[in-house]
Amino acid sequence: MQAMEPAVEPPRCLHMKPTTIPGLLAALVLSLVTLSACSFPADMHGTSQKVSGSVLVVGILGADTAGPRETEIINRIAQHFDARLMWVSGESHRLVSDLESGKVHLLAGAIPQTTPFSNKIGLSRPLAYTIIGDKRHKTVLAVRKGENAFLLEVNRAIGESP
Amino acid sequence: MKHYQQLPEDIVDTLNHARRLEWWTLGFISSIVIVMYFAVGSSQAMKSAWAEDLLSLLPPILFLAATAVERKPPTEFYPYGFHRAGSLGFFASAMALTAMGGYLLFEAAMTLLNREHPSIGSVRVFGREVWLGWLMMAALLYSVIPPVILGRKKKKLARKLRDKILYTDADMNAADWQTGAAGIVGIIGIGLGFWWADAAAAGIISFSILNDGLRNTRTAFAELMDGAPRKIDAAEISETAKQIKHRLQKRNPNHRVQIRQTGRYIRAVVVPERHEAISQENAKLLADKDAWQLTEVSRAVSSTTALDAANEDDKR
Repeated sequence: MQAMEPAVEPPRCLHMKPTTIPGLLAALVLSLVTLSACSFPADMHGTSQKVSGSVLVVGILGADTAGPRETEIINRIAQHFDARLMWVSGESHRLVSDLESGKVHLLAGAIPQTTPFSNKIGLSRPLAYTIIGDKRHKTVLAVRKGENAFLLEVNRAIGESP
Repeated sequence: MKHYQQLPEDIVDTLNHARRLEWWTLGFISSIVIVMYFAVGSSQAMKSAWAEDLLSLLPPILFLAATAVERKPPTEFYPYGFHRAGSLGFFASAMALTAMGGYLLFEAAMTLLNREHPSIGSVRVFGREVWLGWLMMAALLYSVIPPVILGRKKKKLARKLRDKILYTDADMNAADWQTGAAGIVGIIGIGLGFWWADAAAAGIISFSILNDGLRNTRTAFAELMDGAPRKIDAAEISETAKQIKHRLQKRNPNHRVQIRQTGRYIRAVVVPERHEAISQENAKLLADKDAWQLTEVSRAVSSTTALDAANEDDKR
């Protein structure tokens, strides 16, 4: 049963791949080099550009004012973009919807990292802690989804996590 | 009692070589899965690529398990031995691939329909803010190199061993660079501000998973249905099987030759034409009123009997 005839299957073309792989890698390296020169990552809705030299609109969830560490960080972000600060407060669903449509640029107010809104908003790195129930949660700032250049700047302003 | 004939030495060597390569594959892919797990962020494409890497752990495990048990002697409960352990495992892994591919394709389509914009954050590395996308691309780049090298090596062995699990595994590994490249393109797309790039890349990756799954299902199906032995890389009947069938046919005129594959081995049965494989009377003799259940009794051809007589016919 095992004594088989030499395989009759036609030889497969393996010669195609070596030419495509280096070509692909070269194209990849080339595009990465070009990318690092311009703004990368970019915002999908241009938040950084809109805020720059203009107004940074910050929504506070569930409170009248942001905590001291949040305020410090938000001031730093406004400074970086050379923007005036405008604070808005309101009902959380409305604020999240305003963030999604770009009317608000940043959400603050002890938002836990485990927020149920997490699929609608982009989260920053943790910056402080809050107690909800009897559990301690890390808190974050929220940005509009897809605004990756802006998010990078927010994270830079946060710096080290606690 | 001898249940199997000896395998030729070079086949045994190749089998051991293949087993070693599969252990290497397991090691490398595990490391890739771990690296990707830590880099995977909110990129849909990266998630799909990770799922594919996780699933590509299955075939090497199956191959190692199947080659370990397939030569075990038959038992009372498994009188044919365990040749088809591999086929069974293969079917399970094909189902897993199909289900996962379908699910990921659905998810990618929903992401596109809902116009979800992926957010990718950053990490601090030595006091500098580094976009996570760069780390994801690095992880994806790492994920393509070892499988492609191992896949090419394994493909050669798989042809020699007539091993479908190994072949499919090698094929999936060798094509892995496409998954990695699609993932990297998706992340570059996000970086450039194209929200759809990620989901589109995820769609391409999940489509390739689904395609692998369906192809494997078809192969596994043929084996589990007692189909004729197939070529290792196509859905056609293998040349070896055709040749065995042809020679048996020539030596047994007025007989029907049934040939099928059990794992990497081939079994053939010669049945007189115009008769059932077993006559009603004989079946009744053996099984009384359950005779309808007995459809075949065959006798193995040992080295000295029927085939030799036929050989002389050939020479004449």
